[in-house]
Amino acid sequence: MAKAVRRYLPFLLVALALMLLPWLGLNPFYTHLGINLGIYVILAISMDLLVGFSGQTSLGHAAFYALGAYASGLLAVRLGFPVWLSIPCAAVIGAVITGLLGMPLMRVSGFYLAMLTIAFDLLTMTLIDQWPALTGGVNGLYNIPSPTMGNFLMFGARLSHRGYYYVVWILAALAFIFQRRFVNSWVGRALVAIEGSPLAASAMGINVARYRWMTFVLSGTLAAIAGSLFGHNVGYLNSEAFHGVSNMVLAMALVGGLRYPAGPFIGALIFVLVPQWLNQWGLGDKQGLVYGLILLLSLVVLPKGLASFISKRPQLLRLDPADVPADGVENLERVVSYQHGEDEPPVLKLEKVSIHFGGNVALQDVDLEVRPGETHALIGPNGAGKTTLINIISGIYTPTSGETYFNGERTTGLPPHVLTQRGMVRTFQNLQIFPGLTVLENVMIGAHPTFRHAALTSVLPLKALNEEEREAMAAAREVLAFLGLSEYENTIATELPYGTQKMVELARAIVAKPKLLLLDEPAAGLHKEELDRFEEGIRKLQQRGLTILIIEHHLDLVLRLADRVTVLNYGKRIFLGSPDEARADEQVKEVYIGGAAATA
Amino acid sequence: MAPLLQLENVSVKYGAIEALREVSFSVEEGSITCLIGANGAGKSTTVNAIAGLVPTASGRILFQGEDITKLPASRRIAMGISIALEGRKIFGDQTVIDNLMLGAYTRSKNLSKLRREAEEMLARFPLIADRGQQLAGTLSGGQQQALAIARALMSRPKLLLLDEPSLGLAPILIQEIYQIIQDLADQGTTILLVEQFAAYAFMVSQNACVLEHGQLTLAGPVAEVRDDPRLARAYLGK
Amino acid sequence: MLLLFLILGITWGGIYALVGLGFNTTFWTLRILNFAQGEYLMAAVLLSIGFNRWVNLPWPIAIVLALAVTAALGLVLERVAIRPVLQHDPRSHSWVVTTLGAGIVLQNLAVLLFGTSEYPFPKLMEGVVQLLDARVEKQLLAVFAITVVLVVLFDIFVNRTLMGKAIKAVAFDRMAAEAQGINSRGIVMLSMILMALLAGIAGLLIAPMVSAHPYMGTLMTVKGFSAAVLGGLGSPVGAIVGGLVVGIAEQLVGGYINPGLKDAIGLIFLFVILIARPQGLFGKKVAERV
Repeated sequence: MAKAVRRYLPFLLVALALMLLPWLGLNPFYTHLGINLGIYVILAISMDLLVGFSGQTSLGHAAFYALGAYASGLLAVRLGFPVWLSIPCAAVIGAVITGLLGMPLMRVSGFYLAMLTIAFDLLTMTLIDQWPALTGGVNGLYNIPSPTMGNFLMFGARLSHRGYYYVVWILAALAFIFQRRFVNSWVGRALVAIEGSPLAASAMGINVARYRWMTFVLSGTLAAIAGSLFGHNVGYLNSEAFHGVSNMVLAMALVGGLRYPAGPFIGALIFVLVPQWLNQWGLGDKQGLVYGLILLLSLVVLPKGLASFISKRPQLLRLDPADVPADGVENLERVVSYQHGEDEPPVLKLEKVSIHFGGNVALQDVDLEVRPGETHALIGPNGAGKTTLINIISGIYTPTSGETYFNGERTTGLPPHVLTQRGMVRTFQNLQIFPGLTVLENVMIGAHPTFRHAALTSVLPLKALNEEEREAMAAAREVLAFLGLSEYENTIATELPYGTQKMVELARAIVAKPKLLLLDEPAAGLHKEELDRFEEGIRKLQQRGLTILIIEHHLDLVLRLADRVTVLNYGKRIFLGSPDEARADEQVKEVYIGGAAATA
Repeated sequence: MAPLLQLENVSVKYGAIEALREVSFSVEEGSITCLIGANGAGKSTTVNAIAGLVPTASGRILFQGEDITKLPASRRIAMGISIALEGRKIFGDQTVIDNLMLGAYTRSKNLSKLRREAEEMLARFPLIADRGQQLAGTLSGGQQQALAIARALMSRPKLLLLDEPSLGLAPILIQEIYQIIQDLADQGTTILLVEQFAAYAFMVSQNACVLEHGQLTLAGPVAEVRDDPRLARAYLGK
Repeated sequence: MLLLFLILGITWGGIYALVGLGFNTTFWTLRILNFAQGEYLMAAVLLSIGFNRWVNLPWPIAIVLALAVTAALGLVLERVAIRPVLQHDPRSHSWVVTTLGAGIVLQNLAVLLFGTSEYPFPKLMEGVVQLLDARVEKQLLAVFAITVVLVVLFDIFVNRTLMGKAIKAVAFDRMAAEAQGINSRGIVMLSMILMALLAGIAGLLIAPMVSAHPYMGTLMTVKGFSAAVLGGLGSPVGAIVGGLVVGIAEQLVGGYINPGLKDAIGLIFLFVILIARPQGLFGKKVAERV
């Protein structure tokens, strides 16, 4: 209880202050500022969701804002919709349009989106001016129901500015709660994972394209809601009103501090006050310059934003780890425990897999079979095609010919996130730890496939969601304890020594409850003690019946760990057998030292 | 006389990874020295550090007795160090001749003069002699390797660093590439050869250094290193 | 009319191509795009006007000086907006925000210095010529001729000088380029200068046709980007073809359908190409290294 009070107290105090503001007997001007502040808060939350969590940048939020404003305004003015209907309709229209605009996001990301949004912004403003029949053109749209005009009716009641203030802030509060619940969940962790490394996120079973698109649509919808509130506040719209808004919204989110709960409030407050200050100092015409300087410098001078001065690093966990005990460490039964029957099909089977890059044949007719419960080693000299093969197995490449099967089902050409959801989990040769996240958060991202609810349900107060979260956290803590990493749970993972990060990556893979664990050079760059720790961890997993396919250059290590060995050379399989047979095999020796060919 | 190249306790770090720990050895003028060891042992890091492509964390590198540890790659190339990188790293979207001319970047910017020299260089490499106008990315692996070596020679180096010239090549092509290396040696070129296939390297080298986990564990004349039991262990473990 | 639309389309397409080539040069060397490119275009124009009006320099000198300052601004951009964010995290896309910010700063400085009124810019040539059934301004033809010369010069520089080959080498593989003794920092600087000059010259060419003001660049950033993406980011031929396609389509749509839709064409192309073929018409699909 006390903990909950401590956690929510600042927000309750802020909420109380906001509720009282119109009654403090201040100049009514402050109520106006308060309305603007609420609208800006929604805008900043919308941008924070996009930039802060999914790492996508919109440079055209003014367009979505304007869409919402005009949609609600037009529905109210032209069709006589009541505002309680026109505002939700504006949100839906915003969602549909951003949904369509976001379609290329299925294929590209990053700066493409940024430029696309700039273009859309320019287009929207042009349309507003060029389509007077609909929008009133440059003369503007008049008579939108608003407290300023005195015609803002909500369920029959005529609202003053004071009443409207509460409408705005109720919606702002809902937007805030929506965003925090949305991100303090497996969804938020998935978004941050995508931002850190799309490739690794996809290997965690995250549908990168869909998450990006969804965030974009939610962000656009929130902006449209803010826009409709803006339109009903002023009662009159033309394209002038949206000039510079895109840049302001982005600057608000950055200055306030991305991902921090307080960030949008601080950002919005500053941008409500900045124009007042500039006017006071006689610098009213320098507003654009100030926005520009903020965008140019804030990422360099103040990369974490102002909120970083008053709050701790924002967490991406819904529950307090202290409330979720890591029991069952000894047997790890919650996560890894497999009983393999005699008649099970091979976990992984490759039939005559070949792949060509340009004219080069990288792999030719490679067969591979990994049996349930075995540790299979894939070795060969550099350039033999091992990494290419693991990329085919995990779905990053599609083979030119041949078939892949996983658990008896044909999987040729399936994307990585689908294979992961079916139980194939990999680690990467080049460390792919998600930057800026704690060890526990990193490992919990590995548990993504265990979350079965639709992403949007994360905002609902469902008991089942908390259970899933609790289960994933317990599994994560258990695996960390199992690998001796508990002490680092709350450390930022990328600040750990390299070898420890490799172990975190292993933990993240195990927590997904893999049916097959693919290890791509897990021991590269480890020193002696780290190697021993790694070997010990793998042995324990083997005892629990985990099936493993391992690529590794430390031959002594893999030959100790493996049940069977496949040797690749020049893209072909040249050997299959036990480690002892491999050690004795002349061809294998030759492959490694270049003996016969050189001395012949 | 001082050796052409001398490494004194050189260490290299990639972020948290210590790729090279206190490595010391030297290369005599006119000799071929090979640097062997299993994958990930730090061989490429060593030659890249000598060429100035990765910064050294500590230690000194001396070339012709002069401390070059802090010099940029372009200065080292101008002084006479040249490198054919691991994986060949030819400029695939440019022609073979263009690749060769870029190899002489520090010497001259005069295209017609460089083109003449590039053609002369091509003539020395039968594998690619008639491929001058072809895009380098369309060459076969062996041809690309020949081009990488030819490009490295365009700067007229006193010391040639060859990183894994046999990488990914079929045995027959490896023989051809090693013929080229042997020819260079016969002409008196000083070479530091990185090779994961020890047996190939021993055919052409006088001296050998063995790296294991970023440390130098064995060094000496090839005849001695070849028969040392520690060599096999460096590759296959115990 | 068709002929006139085609001539207009090709001329404007050439301008978009120049801006698109500017995008390519920094994309090659730094994997970044300058979101302030349109503002560099504007800067060269307004600086020329400033030097001519307030320092009383003759036009040719004012223009050369303005281009020099624009190029210097390109170097400043790298130092202030790009290097710090790439040093902090080479993978980050923060440069989108910082270069955009730089553009807004430039635009607002221009407003402070020049106001928002439009300035006339001298034409290279006065008068019109009769081409079949079209009366074409000589200025238009001059712009077209200069664009062709510039594109040819750009091609000669990139493909027929060792420095140009070195730029391609840095673009292809930075470490391999450094192994040849190519100073990649210097090449990066050069690419920033080229970017600024291409944008600046494009601005000087269109200034007489559109009249100069601080907001003249904004649309050009988007259209140049559309050209570059349509052709395939990184491909010079692509930028030229992309520029021409956008330019001609714009004139045809503006002429035959609705002038108001003209500026939407670039966006529509951008949208369609990103869905259908994100690598562009001439771009190669690049697999992500694992």
